[in-house]
Amino acid sequence: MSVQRRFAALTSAQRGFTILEIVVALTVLSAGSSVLWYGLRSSAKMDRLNRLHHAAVTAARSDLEALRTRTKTGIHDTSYLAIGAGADSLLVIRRVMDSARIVNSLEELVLDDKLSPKELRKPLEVRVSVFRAPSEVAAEMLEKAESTAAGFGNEDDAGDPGGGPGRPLAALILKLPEYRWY
Amino acid sequence: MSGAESGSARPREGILCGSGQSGAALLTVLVVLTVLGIAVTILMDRSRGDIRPWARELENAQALYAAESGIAFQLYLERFSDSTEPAFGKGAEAEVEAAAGGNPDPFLGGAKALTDTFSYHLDTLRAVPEVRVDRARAYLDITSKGRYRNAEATVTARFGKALDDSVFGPALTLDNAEPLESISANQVIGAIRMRTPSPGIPNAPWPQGFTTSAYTAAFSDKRYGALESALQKKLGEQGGEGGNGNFTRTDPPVFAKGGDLFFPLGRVELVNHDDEPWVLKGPGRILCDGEIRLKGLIRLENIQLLSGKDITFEDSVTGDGISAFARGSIYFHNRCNLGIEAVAGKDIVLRDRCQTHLGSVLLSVGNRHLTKGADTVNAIRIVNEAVARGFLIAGGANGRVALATQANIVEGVVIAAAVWLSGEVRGPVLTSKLLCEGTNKRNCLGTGRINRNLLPANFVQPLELGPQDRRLYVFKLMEWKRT
Repeated sequence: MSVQRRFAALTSAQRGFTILEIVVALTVLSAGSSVLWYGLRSSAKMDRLNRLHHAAVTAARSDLEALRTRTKTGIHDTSYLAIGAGADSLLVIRRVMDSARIVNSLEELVLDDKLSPKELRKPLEVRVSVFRAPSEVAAEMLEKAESTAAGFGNEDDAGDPGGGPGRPLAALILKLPEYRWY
Repeated sequence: MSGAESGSARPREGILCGSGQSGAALLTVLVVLTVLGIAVTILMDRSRGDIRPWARELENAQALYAAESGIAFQLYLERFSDSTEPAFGKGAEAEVEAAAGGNPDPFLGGAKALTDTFSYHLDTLRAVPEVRVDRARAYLDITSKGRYRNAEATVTARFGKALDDSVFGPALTLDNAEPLESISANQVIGAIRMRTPSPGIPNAPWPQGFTTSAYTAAFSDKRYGALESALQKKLGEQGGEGGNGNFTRTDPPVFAKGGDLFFPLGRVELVNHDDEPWVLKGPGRILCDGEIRLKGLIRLENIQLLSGKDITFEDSVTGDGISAFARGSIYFHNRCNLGIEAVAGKDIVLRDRCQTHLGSVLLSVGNRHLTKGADTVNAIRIVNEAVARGFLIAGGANGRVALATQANIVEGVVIAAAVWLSGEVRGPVLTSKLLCEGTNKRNCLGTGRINRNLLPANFVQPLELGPQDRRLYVFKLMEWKRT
């Protein structure tokens, strides 16, 4: 009796108030947990995206830096897959304002004494765009990029995204002198 | 018993659900919520902190490439433009627009159409970099500032001309009719080229029509003429400083917007008596009619000094990108270490373990302004364990280069009407007369040594030295600085 009565006295005095508190506590805790979960998830996502962007900038820079040792005639359009962050690859697309594109873009050709367009003496302009390429569609994206790069003077010469799929993670442009720097 | 039971239950009830307990769970929840909030905020903040670097990385990279593109484009203009001072960007466009009578369309009213445009073909949104070219120096200095979104990058590059091996290939070029006295096998490392072959010494063929004096005369006249006219023009202008200029670390010279500080009737002293180094950064020019003296722990960067008399560097003056012009002489004393282009009307003396950097030019042009007297010789003298690097050119019929002792070294090219070598030249020597102790009448090397093989492979020559067809140049990068 005494234990039962004591328990009864206890519960009767706290009933309603404790349940309300528990409900509030559970609601707030679940909301807090959701926020924490979302925060952790978005943080991880952001971290992955950061690493992907960093890898994209590095890929774009290394592609441009590699051109410094090449002659003007040895620099062409290309596209290839590079290592990205996690499961994603990176699709690197290089576009070069080569002689064909230059001649195609000129309204009037001004020739020098060797009958070569004067515009061709200018430093070579190269744009490198890097796109995210999930592993399941990477091969398809590469194939599409290669087929787009085959022509010149098409719409994607006008600017970003450079004929690639969607918005690039990184896009860098450099005018290279015709002779080597280093 | 029941009373006792009920009496004992009351206090427990009071402990468990009395006024002290109400809201305890709420308090706990609030504490947990606060902790969670702080944790989430920290996580988000860390993530946001990570976002900034890659965005910044991309912007910095593109700004740097824009600056590099500016240099590449300016070099193209230097080589192929019809203009002697080609430029592009806002300044050049405004000039063209002004020439076209304010009409920006070159096809409608353009008297002078803009033929060279920097515009990016592959992305028209990229901004044109700001490029500045310094043509007052022997080498070509280009500064390009590129911008992309919030980032800005500045690249400074110095270019020279690839060394002309037809001229500077042999170790010794002797441009006179006298034979060379016998030399030991290890005294001259490299080919020897003489107008008059000497017995027992293999002679390389003489290039058609080449003379040492003619090769250097155009360069020395152009350098001296340009600097002399700049000094004359400035000293004749209104608005100069009165009296002398005395500057210290606590009272440094302040360069006006144009970068010039000039004293038409005075002399200038920059002295640092402290142990703390004093860094004086340009671009800036100090011009005066009297002498210029620099003394103490001073570092000069991108400063030009023009004097109507002498210039003296004393006691640990260091620096780079310095240009000095004196109608009289230029002296370097006591461990100065400078990257300098020095042009003097009379002598240049490098002594007491002073050094000049590779890429320096020491040019003594001869007695032009001083009253012609008994001492008509102009000389570059390297004495007391000094080391000179770069080009040493003593122009004129009486120009001399002298290495006083065996401890003196020149790492570079020596050109003069007469050369006195006691020390070592690590590079080619071009002279009309090779002198030694005891005589000034015959070609002899004495204790001197010439080793052409020790000249650095990337050694370049000033743009204005030698043939001037820029389309045939190979520009070579000497310095590359990023900020």
